[in-house]
Amino acid sequence: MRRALLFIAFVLFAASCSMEKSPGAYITEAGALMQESRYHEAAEVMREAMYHFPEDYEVCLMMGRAAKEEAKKFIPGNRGLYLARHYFRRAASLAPDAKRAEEAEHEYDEVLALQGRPRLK
Amino acid sequence: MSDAIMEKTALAMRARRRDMAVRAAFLLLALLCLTGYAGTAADMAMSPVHEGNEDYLKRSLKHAGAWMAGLLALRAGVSVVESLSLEPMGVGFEAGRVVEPVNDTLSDIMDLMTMNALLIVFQLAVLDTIKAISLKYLLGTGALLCVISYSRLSNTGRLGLMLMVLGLVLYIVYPLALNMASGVFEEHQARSSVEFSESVGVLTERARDVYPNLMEGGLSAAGLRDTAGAFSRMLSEGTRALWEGLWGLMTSFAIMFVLAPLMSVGVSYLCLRQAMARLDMPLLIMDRKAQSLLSARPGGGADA
Repeated sequence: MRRALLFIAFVLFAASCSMEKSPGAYITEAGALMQESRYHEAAEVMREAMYHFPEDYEVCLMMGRAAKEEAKKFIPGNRGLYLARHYFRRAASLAPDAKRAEEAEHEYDEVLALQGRPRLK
Repeated sequence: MSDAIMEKTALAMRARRRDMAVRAAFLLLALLCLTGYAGTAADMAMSPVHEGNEDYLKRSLKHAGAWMAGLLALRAGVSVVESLSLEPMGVGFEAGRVVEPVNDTLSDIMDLMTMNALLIVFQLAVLDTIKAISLKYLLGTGALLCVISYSRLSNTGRLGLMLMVLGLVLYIVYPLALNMASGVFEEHQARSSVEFSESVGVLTERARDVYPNLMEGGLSAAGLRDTAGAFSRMLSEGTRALWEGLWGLMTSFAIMFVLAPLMSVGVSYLCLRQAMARLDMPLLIMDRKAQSLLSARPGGGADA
């Protein structure tokens, strides 16, 4: 029973001291997975990053890219492509400067092209 | 014979010295606790946990308060509708009958939110009380009683040890358990928020496509079919967003108001019970040889 109590105490301590990765670490990990064409896993990694950093431009952009690559093989009406559009639009609104906003909008236009839709501008 | 007596005397003196050392340690602990020095040092070590718990509970209270304000506004609107009595074209129509079930449901939800808010306030008060009394008074008083007697066979010793264990469990285990539960809640909140915003985002993007669909297809059969398809997918996405929102909300309430309090109280109770059951300490702190020699009779044959 002593061991059980020590284990409980350890679990409580460990749970209280959880370590968090940086946005860059998530993006690097997802980038490596995407290079291996493991798009679904990359999207899962970036979703985890979104839980911790929902207002980060780079995280939103990478999440959009992962969703786009994952959804490419499906029909253009697939939810994944709309998800990618949502994240690219969000990244454009969070962009710290005009150049990055343009980058996100360019990605958005690419998804529209994949769906066979004209640019909305 | 004289050698045995001398050995017995030496062992008894050693046991007495150990006993004095233990009592001195308890006295020192009691002084540190009752003067507040132990509490200050412990507060510094536990400050991340205490601050985390206070943040979590205050945010939950703010959340509950926002819900109550929204519900009050909604109830006010429903009350106005309830009091309407229209007579279009000579046919009486009491709007109150229609919205009465809505008003009852809102009233029940309001009662639930009020109870939840009170529970959060109670938890905050409990945490403040634990910080104030557990080390200074419970541990300190327990250590003071153990100076008089730390033997479990005496009432003073049992009470002293019980107070010490209670003080330590309340100060360390309860806040840590609550901290773990709040971590679970925060993570769940983050996930629900992201999933809900994804559903709303996809719904928005689908909605953006409906108008161009209508413009492209016009009123032709194919165009209307495409537009109907787009509306149907929007409806499906909207239902998904609504379901995710409601589910996330219900799970948040369950974690905040059921799981977190139960976990923190339950783990604390478990630790306390086990610690009390394990307090089976020997009469005096001495080695086994001394114990057997002291209990041996002069004529030979030790007691069992």
